Amino acid sequence: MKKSLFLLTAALLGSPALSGASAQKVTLDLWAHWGSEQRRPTINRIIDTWNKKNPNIQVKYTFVPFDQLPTKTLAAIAAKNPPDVVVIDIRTTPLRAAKNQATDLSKLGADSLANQFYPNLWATATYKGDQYGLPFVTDTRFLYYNKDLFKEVGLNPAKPPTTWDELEAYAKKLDKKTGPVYSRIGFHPLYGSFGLESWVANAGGSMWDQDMINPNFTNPVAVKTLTWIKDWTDRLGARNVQAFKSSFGSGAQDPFISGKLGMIIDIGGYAATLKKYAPNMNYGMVRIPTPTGQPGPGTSSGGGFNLEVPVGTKHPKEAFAFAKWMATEGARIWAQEQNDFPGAKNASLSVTTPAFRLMSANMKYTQVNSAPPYAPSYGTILDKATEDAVYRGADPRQALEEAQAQVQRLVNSNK
Amino acid sequence: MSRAAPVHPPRRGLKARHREALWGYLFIAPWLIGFLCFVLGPMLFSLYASFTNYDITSRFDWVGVRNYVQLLTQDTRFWTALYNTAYYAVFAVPLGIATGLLIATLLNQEVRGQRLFRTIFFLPKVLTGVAVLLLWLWVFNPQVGLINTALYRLGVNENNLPLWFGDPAWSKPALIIMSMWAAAGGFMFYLAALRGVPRDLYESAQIDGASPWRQFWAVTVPLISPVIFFKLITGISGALQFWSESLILTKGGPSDSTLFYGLYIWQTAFTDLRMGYASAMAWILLLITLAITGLQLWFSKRWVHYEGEVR
Repeated sequence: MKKSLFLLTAALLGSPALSGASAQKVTLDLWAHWGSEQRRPTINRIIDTWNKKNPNIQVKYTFVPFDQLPTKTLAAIAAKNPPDVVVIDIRTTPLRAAKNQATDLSKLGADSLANQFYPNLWATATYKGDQYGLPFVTDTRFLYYNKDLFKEVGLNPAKPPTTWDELEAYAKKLDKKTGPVYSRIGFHPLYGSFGLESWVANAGGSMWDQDMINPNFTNPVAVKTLTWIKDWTDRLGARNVQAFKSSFGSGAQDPFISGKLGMIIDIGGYAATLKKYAPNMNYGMVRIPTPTGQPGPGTSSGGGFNLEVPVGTKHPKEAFAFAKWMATEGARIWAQEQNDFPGAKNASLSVTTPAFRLMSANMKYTQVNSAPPYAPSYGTILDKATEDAVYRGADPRQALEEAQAQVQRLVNSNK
Repeated sequence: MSRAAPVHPPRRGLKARHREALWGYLFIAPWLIGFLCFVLGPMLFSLYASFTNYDITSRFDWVGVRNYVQLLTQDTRFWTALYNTAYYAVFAVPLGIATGLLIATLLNQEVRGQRLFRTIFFLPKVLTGVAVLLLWLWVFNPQVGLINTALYRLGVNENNLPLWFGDPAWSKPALIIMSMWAAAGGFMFYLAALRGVPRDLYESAQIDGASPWRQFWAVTVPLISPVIFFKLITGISGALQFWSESLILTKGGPSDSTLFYGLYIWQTAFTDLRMGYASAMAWILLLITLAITGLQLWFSKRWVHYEGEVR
């Protein structure tokens, strides 16, 4: 007994000394925005798993609040003391690549990993042919519809809408007025999480040229789509549409859960929300309708996060090794515990829930847009054009022309 | 070892006055160094950056006055932001002063439980941050909010109720009404000033038959005018830098109606990474603030009354 105790003590004392003796031990700093009760245990588990397997490359996790992460990372890079790996907005990787903030991972051998990831996600971190990040998680959107409400108004719940015309016809049937006010709206294109740009992609168009350099806001598909949204709003009354939206909330106030909306577009993870807050809800989850009914590469949209190695890290090789592991094996743990859709194919196949299988099948119809490197803030300008046209009576083409001119000027002076 | 320490003869020219000054500088050195390193240094850097295309990590080329020219001649959002900020300052500052003064006057009355009231009205200064803003979001909710419910009860037609943060015409007034909440908490300044007004002045005025209203304008206001002036200067420069509320509540929308100057600077600097351009905007704001403050100082001679001042 005494002897074993002695040995144990020796081992405990000895082990730090031993690992301290190995010359190449490094500690990597990982920054991400996961700090909640729900997220924290999973990221801790991922890091613990890695740390146990790799005594020479220890990872230390730092939680940085979501809204501060981009600015803090930028400041740390500028101060030449950045974290070694960072989990960051999937849309802005090309911007950081262009501004020499993200390490070129192709030089570290990233190109050979390409076929392990969904191509549309891999492409988000490719800039001028080189790879500047590894996709970690994404999402994809679906049309959710309330089957009970379908039955109530005489629609067949087994036949959800597949075209824009059907979507509108179904929505009209689901609309319900109490006096002058709507107590239920069947669907509205701007409710949920699908904006003008997503609808344009859904119709097969794009707001940008091939390389995301110059805006193309006034293309016929965009004008037609904005006009479609405007007509839809005019039918309901712009004021009604806005006032109705202001009553939306989360939880029990969720408009789809409370029956205020008959159909809504949301991410695949919304299925988990419904399971939690409305376990008895009788709903369907299908591909988003397109003008023709045929799906294309932009039918749905997604966002998410990439893993990047900031420029200026002292351990690029080790950082890349960890990022590579986290994007594949780490993503598997993440997907299983958090239900977020991972960028690595193998990790996504390890979860077998029905919602996950739908998401996996929807990936090839999902567009993950990168922000244009010369005008990353174009979204607010485009939003204004959309709002002016949809809610405030501006001519769609004119509103888009104005936004186009503003964004083009931004691009020109940023080049 | 026993040698006495040499006695320095007092150096020539270093008189007591100079020595004292030297000590003075030594004592303020921590602040002075901080100011030079963390205020003046960055300011000069940003002045230089405003003539470049600085983007923090990849370029820093001299572009002359291009940023300034572009701002003033091509950037419509710059003018929108300037207009929104001016609109906010013009309404929020006078209303804020009036609110603070009104509350202070009420809290200066001799009534039972006055201490409690003073504490309650000071609470807004303690309670700030995102939680309070989210509360306001609920107050202004067009459907279930406190304000619209009250308006509806008062007989305003359902279709005429303001949409507040959903309508460009009402989003700025909503933010101004919101700012009154914080302004009310600033009553302490006015209260201190009100307490300093000599009682006998009111007594004389009463003997002359002045109404309370007249007493307020002829006695109170002139005597507390330095405080009002102070609040005017700090209030305007504060209003010109107002933007974090709009970032949290409206993100500058709807239709750019709450795109304030500070928000636009922040967006330009940290979303577009155009640090040089943003620096130019910051310097324009400094010039505007300096000009307004200068004008106020000049005007103040006409209406601000300092006790013991000989005219």
